[in-house]
Amino acid sequence: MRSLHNILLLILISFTASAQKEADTAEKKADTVKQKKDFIPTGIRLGTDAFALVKSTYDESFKGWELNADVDFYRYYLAVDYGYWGRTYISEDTDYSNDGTYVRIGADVNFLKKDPDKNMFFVGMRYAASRFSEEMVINQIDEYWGPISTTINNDNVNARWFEVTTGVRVKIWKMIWLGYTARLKFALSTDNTTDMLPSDVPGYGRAETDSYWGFNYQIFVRLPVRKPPSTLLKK
Amino acid sequence: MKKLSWFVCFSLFAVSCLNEADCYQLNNNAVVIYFKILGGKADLFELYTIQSADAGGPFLVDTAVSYVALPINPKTEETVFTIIGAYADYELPVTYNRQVQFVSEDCGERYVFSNLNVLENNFDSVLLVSTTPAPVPVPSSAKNIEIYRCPRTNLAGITFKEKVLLSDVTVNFPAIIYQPTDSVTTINLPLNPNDTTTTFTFSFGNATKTLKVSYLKEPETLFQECGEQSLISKLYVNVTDLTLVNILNDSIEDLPIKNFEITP
Repeated sequence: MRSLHNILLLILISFTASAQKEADTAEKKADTVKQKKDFIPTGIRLGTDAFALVKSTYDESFKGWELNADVDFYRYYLAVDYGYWGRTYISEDTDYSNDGTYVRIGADVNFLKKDPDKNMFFVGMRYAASRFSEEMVINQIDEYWGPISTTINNDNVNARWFEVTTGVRVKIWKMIWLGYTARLKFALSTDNTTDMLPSDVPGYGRAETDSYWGFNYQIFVRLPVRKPPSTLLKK
Repeated sequence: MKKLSWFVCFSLFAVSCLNEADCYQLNNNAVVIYFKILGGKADLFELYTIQSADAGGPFLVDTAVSYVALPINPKTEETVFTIIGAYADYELPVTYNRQVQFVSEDCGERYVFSNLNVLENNFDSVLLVSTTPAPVPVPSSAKNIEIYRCPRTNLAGITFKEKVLLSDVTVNFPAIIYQPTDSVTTINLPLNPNDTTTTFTFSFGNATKTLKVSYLKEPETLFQECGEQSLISKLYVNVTDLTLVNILNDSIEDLPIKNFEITP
């Protein structure tokens, strides 16, 4: 039921974004009628997740960053993300910490294929993988069984999952772009662990949930490698 | 400005979708045991204590239950329950797999138990129904183990006209008598399965009174696990110095029914 809610929400976001972006670019579209299909990349966009950086400064329990890159092949984009996150929770009777890196690779399809600035409203897919370690220290008194004092570790656990993504990339100024990516993460699988079940998977979130929402607010620099196709035909 | 509004809009989406951990029913550390009589009828298991040597105290004391939910030890992967019953003592060792998972700062950790197994024990028959222990609070549908016992074919139900202070009660053959409290309105007493008469002796404070009952007995094998048992019927009062004894039912059932009503 929750997954269904998530999928409906993702679709709602997608259509809302689509409608808005269409309005934004209506004026430009009036001048543009056709673009030749050219699958040679015109540039590489490098970015970072601003939300992760901000969160790392105000949330003492979280440290993380994420790098994003994409390359255009006509209206299709190869997208790669690489990130790190670590969490530390300290409470009266249970301490938990983890850290690890993750990578996502996938493709986006830009539905604003006639936009001369190559602004994007996109939908895509990702395959993601994470490698992380975690540790939990328990010091508590059980109602029936008395004191429990133990330290449990999971070292170098591998996890993998899939994502459906949607979002926008908007050229703000010269080479600077802003964007967000909403991602529905699902089908998480992790290595079998013996004493401790994975709790928080870097790049994914809480491991016991079947699906998970993620949002990135991204700042990009787009480095052009060649001029865009000069085949824009004026009306 | 229009572009900025986009990011504000989707910030609200992001906040609305954050998942908070739910601290309810975190641990599935309860083994739910139902007591039954061979044949399928629910039992009312009369016990003095249920405990485990590793636990600080008993889980249950002086009660009669049709089922219990017992906590398993999160420190090990085996728990041995010692059950001091009214008619016999039992040991029930169970093994399981145990994993722990951090949930959140507020909830702490949770224990996840699985692969429950029952080791060799001295009950008449044990059936493992579910290998996954139940969460706490225990749902009404939870059931892990069914413990079956042989039918008791010789327990007569005695009810007193009014609540009495029963300081002692004995029978004229070696038998275990379950007497939960001093003040009772009902008590179940064993009839001698190897004879056709049994004498009960009741001590009401300073007064001691007896009741000798007679009956028919017929040997029968109800269940292979239980061997041959005596089925008792046609109860009647032989001799008594009690004020009044009414026969309410002249046959024996398990669970015991009211056979005699006594006015001391």
